[in-house]
Amino acid sequence: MVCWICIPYCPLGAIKKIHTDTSTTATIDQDECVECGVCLRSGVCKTEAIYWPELEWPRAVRQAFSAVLIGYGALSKAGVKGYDRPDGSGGRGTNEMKTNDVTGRIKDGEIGIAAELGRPCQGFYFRDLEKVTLAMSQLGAEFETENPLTALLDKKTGRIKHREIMNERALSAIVEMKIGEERVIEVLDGLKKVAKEIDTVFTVNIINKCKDGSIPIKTTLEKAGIIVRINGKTNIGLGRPLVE
Amino acid sequence: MTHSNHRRGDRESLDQDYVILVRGELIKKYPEKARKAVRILAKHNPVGVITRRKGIPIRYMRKWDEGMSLQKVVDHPDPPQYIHGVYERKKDVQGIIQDFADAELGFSIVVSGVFENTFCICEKVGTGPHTVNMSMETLGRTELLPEDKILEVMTMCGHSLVGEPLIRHFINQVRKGRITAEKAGLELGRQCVCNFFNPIRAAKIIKEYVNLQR
Repeated sequence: MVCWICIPYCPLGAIKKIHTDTSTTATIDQDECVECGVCLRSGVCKTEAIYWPELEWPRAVRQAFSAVLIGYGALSKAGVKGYDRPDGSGGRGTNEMKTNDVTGRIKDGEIGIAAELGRPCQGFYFRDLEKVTLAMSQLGAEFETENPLTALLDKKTGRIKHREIMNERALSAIVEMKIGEERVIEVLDGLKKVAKEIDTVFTVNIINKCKDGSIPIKTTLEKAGIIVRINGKTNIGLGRPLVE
Repeated sequence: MTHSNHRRGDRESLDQDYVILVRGELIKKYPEKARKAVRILAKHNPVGVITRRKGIPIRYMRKWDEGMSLQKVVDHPDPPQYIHGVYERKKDVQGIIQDFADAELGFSIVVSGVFENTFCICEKVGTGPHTVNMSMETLGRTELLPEDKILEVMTMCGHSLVGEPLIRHFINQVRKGRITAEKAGLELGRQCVCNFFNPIRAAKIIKEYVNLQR
């Protein structure tokens, strides 16, 4: 039975109709598929035509960075060291500012910057991601150790250590770094420059600790003509230190 | 993890869209306080609430008949982790923040929404704001992105699990009168396993889009 009901469920349009002289069927384009599992989890296929085989490395890196509930077990299975949350509880990135009222990760005068590769909804190849990590490294990035992506990188250079994944594709990854606030325009300019060299998109975040009910870095950004959206996340400061 | 940070839309639309995240290592340590946090989220007219119990998402979406009831999410026996709620009204968010401030649970609370609204709530409740995560530009091959209305729906699942093909599919279904915009919103929201997607807002956007094309 061919119904094509699953076709729109793929976020990247990787399920395609295949026409022959005698029939039309559906198939998953294995290069475009990022192993996110949305088609399978949607439950729309009533004929069990969609299934998830056990994935071997390096293809398994697609699933690690695309299937939200699967986690990063594939990294440790492949011998990638340096990330100890294989259940995926850390998501694509880290807790960044969400617990900053407790951890003090971003302090006064510091800026957190993140580039979300492949978002919104375009996906990315690791070869493009490396262009961004190399550029960010040259801009003085300290890659966040709790971020799963960092385990794949040479932290000094931003080069991907596991060259076998360069032509693999995934739904999204977040490159996170911390800088002094005086460098924010320079780093944003660097990101704009590398953005011209990649075959996808990334969306930028800026994290800033508030002062007296306002956002200190906002004036600098606005003076430089940088667009800041009206919405975003606010940690409202109710977190308390870890005490008994 | 920034998957509620880049929700697109105009001021009027974003004024009706909030995500509240409850975070911190204390959640694992104090399950009873975590249960109280879930009760607070449930009390203020949520569009959606989710917690993970032993790693499994336990989720409620308003009017999702096939899903779990809000009471079942609240009463689930396993200790809650990764606690989130989605809301459409500022006054509900203010009520939640007031309740969290009064309860002194010690968890980090993050509001994703229009900064002006969140800062106004903070001032009224007498807390923060402590730290912000601002959504900036999308760079690179932005010509690949769809038009604004599709993006507004798409960016409500920051993990990109609700893609352009499915949004267009359901817009077509609504246009042809095969399903309602509300049902389309729920079916799209079902794909967002973190339950950050706001199906009520999605339905409004889909209706606007269909009307624009008429």
